[in-house]
Amino acid sequence: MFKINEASWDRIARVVLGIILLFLGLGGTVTGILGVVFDVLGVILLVTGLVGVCPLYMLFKFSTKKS
Amino acid sequence: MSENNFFERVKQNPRPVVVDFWAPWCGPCRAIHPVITKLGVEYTGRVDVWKVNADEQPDFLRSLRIYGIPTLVAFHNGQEVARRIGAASPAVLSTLFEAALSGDKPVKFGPAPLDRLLRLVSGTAMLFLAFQGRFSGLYLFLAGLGGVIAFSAVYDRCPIYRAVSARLKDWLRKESADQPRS
Repeated sequence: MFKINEASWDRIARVVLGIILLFLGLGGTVTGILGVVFDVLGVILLVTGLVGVCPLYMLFKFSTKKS
Repeated sequence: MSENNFFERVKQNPRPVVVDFWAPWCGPCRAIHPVITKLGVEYTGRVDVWKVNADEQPDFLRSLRIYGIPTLVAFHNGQEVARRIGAASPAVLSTLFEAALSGDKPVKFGPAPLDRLLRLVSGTAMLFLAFQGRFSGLYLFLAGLGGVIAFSAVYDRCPIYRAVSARLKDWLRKESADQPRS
């Protein structure tokens, strides 16, 4: 559907960072507004990492994946 | 049949060849036999199917480095282009015939290794988070999502999924065939 625009290292970094943020946010280590920000950012990073497509990259016609 | 003799015959054959190494006592060989026969009929005149009984030619199999059966080897212009060890779905087996026909590497099914790894890690992490939250409210949803993501890493290797999806596809095909065309 969408062309993958993330390199392997990019995807791995997103998934790892997304999991860490979700653990901090949902795990209760970080609470309040920052906790919610961590949750949302974690979900976004996890989803974009799993799918391999970043909408922001698409918007700026940027890609970390070598063609 | 010797190794040289075999390759000479494969080279001289006017059509690409798919060789099925099997044995009468081998259950998976018997399981894929109808599929191979059906594909052989489907590709008549384009790809030939040869059968080699592993019990009768143990040295020959060893020389081809075949250590397990069933093994299917696809040859294009006398060169091996694809090999499949063990039973597989009709869709996967048909890729061998396509590879023999085109000379290209067979199309791989299922997610890429990196996709498998990322899905497995994310799914497990989500399940762990849900466990920490004692599966209450949002965490129950997280557990379900994590389970689905983790399963999507290995769905093509699950025999239950394969059996159910094959039946479902068959049923859908029959349903669409039964419907009158407007």
